[in-house]
Amino acid sequence: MDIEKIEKLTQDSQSLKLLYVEDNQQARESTLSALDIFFQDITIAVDGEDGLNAFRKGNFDIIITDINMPKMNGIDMVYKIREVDEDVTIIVLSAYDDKMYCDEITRAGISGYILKPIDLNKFIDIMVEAVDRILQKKKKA
Amino acid sequence: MREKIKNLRFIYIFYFSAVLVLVGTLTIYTLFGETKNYIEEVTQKIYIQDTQDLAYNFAEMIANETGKNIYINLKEDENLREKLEKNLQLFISKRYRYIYVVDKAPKGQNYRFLLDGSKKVEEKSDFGEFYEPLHVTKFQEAYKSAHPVYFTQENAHGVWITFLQPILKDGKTDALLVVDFSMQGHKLIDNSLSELDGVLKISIYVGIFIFIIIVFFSYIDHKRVKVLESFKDKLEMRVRQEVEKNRQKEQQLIEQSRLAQMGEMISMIAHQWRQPLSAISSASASISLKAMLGKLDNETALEISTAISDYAQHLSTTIDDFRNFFKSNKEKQEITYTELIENVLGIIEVSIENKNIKLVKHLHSNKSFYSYPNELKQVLLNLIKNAEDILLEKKVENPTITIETDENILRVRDNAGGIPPDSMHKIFDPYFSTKLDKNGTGLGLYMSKTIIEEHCHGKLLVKNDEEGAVFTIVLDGKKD
Repeated sequence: MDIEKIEKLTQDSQSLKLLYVEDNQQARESTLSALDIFFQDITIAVDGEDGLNAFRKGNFDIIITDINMPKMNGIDMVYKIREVDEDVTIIVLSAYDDKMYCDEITRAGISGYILKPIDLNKFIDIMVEAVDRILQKKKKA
Repeated sequence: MREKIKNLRFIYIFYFSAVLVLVGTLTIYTLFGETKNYIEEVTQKIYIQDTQDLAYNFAEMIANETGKNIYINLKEDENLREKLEKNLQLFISKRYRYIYVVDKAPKGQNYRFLLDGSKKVEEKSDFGEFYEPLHVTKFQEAYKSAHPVYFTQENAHGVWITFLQPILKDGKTDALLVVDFSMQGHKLIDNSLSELDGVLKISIYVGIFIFIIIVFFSYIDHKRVKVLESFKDKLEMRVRQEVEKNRQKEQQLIEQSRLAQMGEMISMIAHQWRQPLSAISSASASISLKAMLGKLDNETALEISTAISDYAQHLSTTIDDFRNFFKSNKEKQEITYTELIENVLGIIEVSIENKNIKLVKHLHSNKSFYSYPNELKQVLLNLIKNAEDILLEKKVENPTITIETDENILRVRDNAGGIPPDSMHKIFDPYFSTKLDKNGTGLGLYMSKTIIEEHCHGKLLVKNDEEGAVFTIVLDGKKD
């Protein structure tokens, strides 16, 4: 594995604000222990509705979300967010079962789809790509 | 088989009666033939005997009345002649047509009349008138032998017997008493017997005819029975084949239902495992990343590895739960509804929650009872799965499954709007399914009902309330 790449990603991502939406506590806690490495500022939401409310309140650079959640699922949440913000980077972190939603959520506009259980290399690749894009956008602005 | 024997017996009785009819008729005919001959013989004998007696008496009388020489005595005594002729006359009838007395003329073969019993003048012969009999040898025979002789002759008037009775003087024939008598009466009997004979002959033909008909129809019947039997055999074979086909089909469906159940189980395991696996993968990713970046301290490593171990333990427990689930219980065990429900929810709860279905529990029964827990768990799982399926299929808003217990009653409710009235009475029928996907084998509720009612001796009922379907299990919970 490319340690330099990871190190660079860790440095680049530290400044970004993350909204992490996941309903399952186990999954949330263990994923957070990995996300902690990349982001200092993490906001947690426990379902789609909670996520949408959090998004409206804060100014986030990146959103990582599950799909299958109570109250409001990930797809609906992404659509709602896109109504107000077309630019914010959204990455889906979900299980195989939700693969069927892949097309739909891609149409809603997402930057990447990470399947659970997590493959570290793919996770890194998608994160690098996303973070690079955010930083470029920030430079332009 | 019994039916077959009955038929056979029937046919044999038929044949037997046919043969009986034929043999009976033939026997009667043969017996009658003999009897007829006997009757004929006897009547003839009686006729002749009668005549013989009569003739003998006359001969005696004439012999007594006429002294030494008949011819001379009669010739001389006209009164005697007249008296005797009158006596003879008394017996002239339709039967005794002619009674007269002749003797041999002194010269030649001729005979001459001595007495004649004829009433009519034109028929009456005079005394001494010559007479040439037709059967002269018989006359001679009678004369010579001094014994009665008779012979039969047939003419326009019918059958006649001429009876010759010698009139003896000192043991020698002096004259012959001739009696012509009609056998007409005998003939009448004969004719009647012949008629009877004809009737019998006809009845033989009729008997044979009936025999043939009976044999013919028996044969046809036999054939028909054979055809029917072969048809029956074919039908039985068809039925057996169909039953076998059905059995195989049923077997296939049961197999299919088992596969579907296993599929469901795998899907449930997948739901159960997904989060722990994700958690493990995330934890391992975080360890890897931290190690790579040189940020992994002992405390964190220990913390995360403990978490991973917990997740693994959880996975293992899940597998055990599922493995135990479909083992069937041989003996009743003491259980409570709450234990059952928690056990089943342990398996299915994650799957239900993942589908965003709300699960409501109102558990008011703490009574323990005796039953087969795994069987009951299967039924409960089936009821909850059904509720889940219909809620997803109908895309109900705020989908909710409610589980209630009260004393010996367990209810599973959904809010999917209820079972359509026209399906209500078929819901427990085997192979009845309303599910749109292929997983509906139509055996789930049928098997549930069988388990509850036949195995556990309880009741599985269904009704609709204002929100949806309500399935109710009632158990008596006795030890045996």
